[in-house]
Formats: sequence, C-alpha cells, structure tokens
Amino acid sequence: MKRRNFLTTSLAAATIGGLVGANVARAQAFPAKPIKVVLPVAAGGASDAIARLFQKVISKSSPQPLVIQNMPGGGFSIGGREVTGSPPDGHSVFMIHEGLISADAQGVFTPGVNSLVAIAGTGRDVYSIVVSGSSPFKTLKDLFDAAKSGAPIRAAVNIGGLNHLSSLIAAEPAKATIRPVQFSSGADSLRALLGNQIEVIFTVASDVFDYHKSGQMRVIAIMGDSRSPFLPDVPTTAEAGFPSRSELNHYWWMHKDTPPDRIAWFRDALGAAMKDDEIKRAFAARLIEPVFTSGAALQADIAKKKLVLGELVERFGLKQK
Amino acid sequence: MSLAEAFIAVLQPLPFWVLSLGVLLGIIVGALPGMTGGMLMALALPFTYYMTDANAITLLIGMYVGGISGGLITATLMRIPGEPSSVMTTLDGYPLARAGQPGRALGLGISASVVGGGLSWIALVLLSPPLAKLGLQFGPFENFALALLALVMISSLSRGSFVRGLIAGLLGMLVGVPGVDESSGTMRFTFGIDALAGGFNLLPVILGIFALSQVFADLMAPDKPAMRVAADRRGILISLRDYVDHGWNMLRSGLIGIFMGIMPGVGASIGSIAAYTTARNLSKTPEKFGKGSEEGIVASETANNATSGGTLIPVITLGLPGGFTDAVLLAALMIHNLQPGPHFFANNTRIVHTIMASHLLAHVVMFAIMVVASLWIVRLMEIPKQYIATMVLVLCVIGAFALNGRLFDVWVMLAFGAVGLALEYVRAPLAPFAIGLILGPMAEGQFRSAMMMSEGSLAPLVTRPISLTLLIATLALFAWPFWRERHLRRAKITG
Repeated sequence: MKRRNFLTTSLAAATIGGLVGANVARAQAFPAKPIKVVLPVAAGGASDAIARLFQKVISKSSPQPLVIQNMPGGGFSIGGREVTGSPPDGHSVFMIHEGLISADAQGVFTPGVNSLVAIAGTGRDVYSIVVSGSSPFKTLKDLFDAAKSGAPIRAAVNIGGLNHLSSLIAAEPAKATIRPVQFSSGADSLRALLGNQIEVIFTVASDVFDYHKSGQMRVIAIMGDSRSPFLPDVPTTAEAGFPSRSELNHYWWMHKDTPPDRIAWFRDALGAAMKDDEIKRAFAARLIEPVFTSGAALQADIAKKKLVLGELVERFGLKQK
Repeated sequence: MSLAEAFIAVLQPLPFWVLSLGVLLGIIVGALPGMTGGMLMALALPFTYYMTDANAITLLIGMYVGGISGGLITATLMRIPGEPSSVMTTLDGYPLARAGQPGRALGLGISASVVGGGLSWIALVLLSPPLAKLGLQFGPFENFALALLALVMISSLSRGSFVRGLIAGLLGMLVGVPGVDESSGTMRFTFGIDALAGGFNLLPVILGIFALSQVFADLMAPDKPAMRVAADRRGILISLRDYVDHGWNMLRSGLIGIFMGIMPGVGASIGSIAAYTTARNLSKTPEKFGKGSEEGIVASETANNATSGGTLIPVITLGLPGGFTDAVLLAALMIHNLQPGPHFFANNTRIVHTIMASHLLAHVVMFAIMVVASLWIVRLMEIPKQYIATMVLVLCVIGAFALNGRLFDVWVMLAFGAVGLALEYVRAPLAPFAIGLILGPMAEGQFRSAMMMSEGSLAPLVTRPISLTLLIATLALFAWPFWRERHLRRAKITG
C-alpha cells in the first residue's frame, strides 16, 4: 500500500511539480509534500546517478518521497532559477558539484551562487590525467615534454567546466600548453580518447578505471594528495614532479532564506543515507571517496573554493565579459 | 545466458507484461505532443529501482521502442510530430491521411517502423563491434562533414522555391543560436532574458512550427465547412506486395538509420531526414513527395526506428551512452550495481542479451498494439477540424510545459506557432526550418571543436578520409536536384 501511495504521489508530483511549487508554505510538519530535487544536468550523468541513489535511500525512510527534476542548460542557470524562484520552504533542493562555483565565477550561473546555501557535501572524486592505451606518453613528464617541444597536445574538455580548469591547473607547474577542444559530455570525451581524436583527458577515476584495466586507456597521474587505493601503481602529480590538485565534490544546496530547521532536516537525511549499505556499496563501486561534510566545515570549504576557483577563472581569463 | 534463453526469459508472463506496458506507455507519450520516449524513461527510472535489473531494462527498452514509434500516429493524422524524429513523416503522412487514406498512411508507417526496427536488431546482434569501431572514427571534422551533408538536404526538400527553402533553413539555424555558447562557455543573444540562458528548446519550437501553426490556420478559418474525412480503415495491414514494392526503400532507409544511430548526438532525427531525402532523390516520382508520397512515409518511418538499434550499439560495446536514451538506460543499470564500461558486454551477457531480446520483442508488441489501436484512432479523422484543433492546442500547451516544468516553453511554443503561420503564409517550407534548427547548432559546435583541434586549419576536412568522402557526397547531393531538373527539362524539350 505504501509503495503504491509513493508511486502515485511521485508520478503526480513529477508531472505537476511546477504547479505545486507555487503553494505557500504552511506552518506544519516538514516535509509536508514531496521534496523536489532539481538537477541542472540531463538524466543519466554522474551527478544524476548519485542524486538518484540518495532519492532511493532517503525515500525509504522519509514521510515524503524525493522527486528528481532534470533541468539542464544555461550553465546550470535554468535549474538554479527553479530553486531560487521557489518558496524557501525546504521543499526545493538543488544538487550539483562544485562546477557550480566555477560557473558562478565565470558569470554564467545567472542566479548567483550566493542566492543558495550549501547543505552538505556527499562524496568526493579526484581528477586524474588519462591518455589512450596506444599513446606514446608513459608518464606525465613525457606528455609535458612533448607539449613544450611544440607537439599538439589536445585535451577533450567542456570549455569553462571543471575538466577544463583541471587541464589548466595540471599544466601550470610544467609551463606547458595543453590545447582545449570542446566536447560537451564526459562520455563524448571518453569516446574522443578511445578514437584517438585527442591526446589526453582529465576526468574522475571511476570513469576510466575499467578502461585502464583493459589497456584501452592509461591513467598517468592522480591530481590528489595521495595515490588512489584503486590505482596503487599510478603516481600523484606531485610524485610525477608536477604538483597540482583538482577534485570534484558533490554538493546539495537550498534557497538561502530556507529556515535552519528545514536545512537541518535534509542535511541529517543525507547524513543518515551516507551510512546506508546501498550507498556505501555504490560509492565503492564508483570509486567515490565517501566523505560527508556539513556545518561550519562545509561553509569554510565552500568559501575557500569560491576564492580558489574565482582566482583560477580570473587568471586563466575565463571570466565572461 | 544465451540469446535464445533471454528471449524465453522475456516471454515469461511478468517480463512480457512489463515489456507490453512499456511499449504501450511509450506509444502514448510518443503520440502526445511534447512528451518523448526519453522523458518517459527518465520519469520511470525511480520505479525501476524496485524491479529486477532484467525487468527494469525490459521496461525501458519497451518505452524507448514505443516512444520512437508512437510519434507517427499524430504526425500522420494531425501533422504533429510527437517526437522530433517524426518531423519527416508529417510531410507525406498528413497529406495522404487528409486525402482520405488515413488507414493506408498509418499502415505504411507502422509496417515500415517494424521493418526498420528488425533491420537494426540484426545489426545490433551481428555487427555491434565493427559498427562501434566505425563510430569512434568520427571526430569533430567527420561530424561536421556529416552535419553539412544533412544540411544541404534542405536544397532537395525545397520544392518550388529553392530560395524560400534556404531562407527557412537559415531562420531555423538562427533560432538555435541564443543561450550558452558551449564552445566558449559564455552567454550569447539572450538579450538579458534569464529564461533564454538555455536557448530555445527544440520541442516547443517544433510543436509551434508544425502543430500550432496548423491549429491557428484551422481556427482562423471557421467559416469553411468542417472538412470531414472518411475514416478509411483499409490499408492498416499492408499487403505482401507492398513490402516487395517498398523493399529496396525499406532496406536502404534502414541502413541509413542504423548508420546514423551509431553516431552519438546525431541520432534519430537526422536518420529520417537523410533517408527521406535519399528516397526522394532516387524516386521515379519525386514530385509526389510532400503531397502524400508512400515512399516518403516508408523512408522516414523505417529510418527512425532503425536508429533505435544503432543507438544501443555504443552502450553494449563501449559501455558509453550515445545519446540521452542510452544515458537513462545506463543510469538504470548503475542503480542495479551494473557498472558500464569496456567489459560491460563480457561481464554482463545476461543483460546484453536481455537488451537484444527486448528490443526485437518490443517491435513485435508495438506492431500488434499499433495495428489494433489504429482501427480506432483513424476515427479521429471524422471529428471536425475545429474540435481537433482545440484538443491539439490543449495537448501542446501541456506537452510544452511538461518538458521542463517551465511556462517559458509554452510562450516559446505559442510564439513559434505564429512564426510557422507566417512561414506558411509566404509559402516557405517548414521542414527546412526544422532541419536548420536541429542541425545548425550541431554543425556549429562540431566545426568549432574541429577548429580547436587543428588550430584553425581547414585542411583536415579534406585530408581525413571519412571527412573527405562525406564532403564529396555533400557536393553531389547539393548538385543532384539541379542536375536532375535540368536533365528532365531537356528531356521534355527534346522528347
């Protein structure tokens, strides 16, 4: 009975979610209606997969289900506007990784990141530097030497995205130039590397782990402070002689005027879900570090990211004129 | 689990029920304006958490096949492309239905869909690895050449005035410009309108151009006596002779569809455009195209279903999504702890075979449902136009809103309804507009990626073999209609 109830409510909410959102928040037990989780990316990507995991786990114990709404486009602005334009009653949640902060620094995220407040960080990915299995470059030094000698070293990136920033960060200590080539999705850039269209990609370990094992791709460095337990033979960028770091944290946000008790409710739901076996298993399978951050530590992280990413965007000339 | 065992497994009562439900729902949303099979699949994802992995995949494949097929119903009977991939079907399906043969028009479309699906299934089962390898050879230069090839098809589609077709095509491309420019990561032509940050969505524009312009035209001429078309059910089951007559067209369109299907991001819409134009260029009666040509319906519908198998090829061979539909399928697999990737095929034969079995069986179920439903649906043609127009208007508004839950999309659709009406008023063809809109941004994006790759050199366009071949084909395709027209004229003068 409970399941059917869930099916009907979430189906109804999914179709008329926008209409319901116009209701004025009433003083009653929270959540009073299905919680809308807006994803500013299309269904099927990495963020989407993580959000849906939490949807599945939280909906099991929550009095109201979570409903995912994919609203891609406009440098996350379309989805962001949906949340900042909804009543700040805790029933609208935004889920997107720290790419939001760099999009904001570039001036493409029009609602502005300061119109949102971070609730929690659930999981961290570290960027890695990957070449094709048939590539002549065995080490990071090989790659940068080639770039400095004038060979075309091209990276498949989403211009302005975190993989683009990672390519700039990685090349900086070597003073090498890696030429960016626009490929919209992560899958597009993997395909470009498999087809030897470009020389290198910058992506999270889970995307390339299996290709690395099969020999179709080669991870040559990890852009983190320590080696990945999943790829113990691959050096960090510092060990390879060109220290640089780049990571990807998955964040949850709400309208900045949301009452603290409602933020706390959702934060605790996320925290509890992180302890669920299903999420632990899935994070392990996707090689995501299961870190949970919230409260003051989270706000400090976000503030630091705003500074660092803002400075990088400025330095690399990515700011919109 | 072998493929035969997978078939038996899907034919068990529960999986088969799940499959049929998926196909039925797919057909319904495919037929409804604004809702697509992909959206239905995304909506259904949360429900698949509670199913077995095999049933989840079976349901989603059913929805996919149903969705891509259902579009032909409204495209044929009301000139509403339920899915962008059925735009080309409106060109001939609607005139044929209006001419008193709705049964025949639907029957041809349904049969062509099944044949297209069957052909692509064969490719999926037998040719996946080599086709996937071929797909990887396509980088930005090749994709740009391919988009260019499809763009010049506008010249073949512009009956009457080439210039009008070109203008419509360019206008379509212009509509694709606003929003975030991916190649530089900046906003352009949003005029400070926040809602335009994501650009114009394809679906509301297409709905406006095709469906709403017709609605406006119907409603603005209320004095005309309501045109009644007899609900002719004859022809819903086409004869063996028809299959023979259209055999070559089906095979050719099917191959084009499969090929386009494996190209990530190109997909179903361009497949039917290419197959339709090829059919027209090779037809003995090209003048009938756009006025209810059977060949046109067959080409478009064979090709768009043929892309369905092609689209699945990158998923099962590379573990990489080729498009939105694939991405949703992969999301469902990941929820069930199946990791996509290069070993997907080897490690998950059970799921791969379930995908294959479901794909073929979904086409069989689709055929049965569509034939039976058509017996009843053709009666829509008996309802006076004004009532239908009102109903279409309501459905379009709901569809455009449901797309993203934004009222903005509804306004966009209404505005483009007026644009469509204006285009028809100046007798500019609508198909080139749609093609420009679909292909313009694609061509631009690929070209700019290509220029980033070569540091601004155009040379690789002709030094890379695939790209060169496509460019030559583009030139040939561009020249062909002119050459043929001249040839025919001369033949007429001398003959």
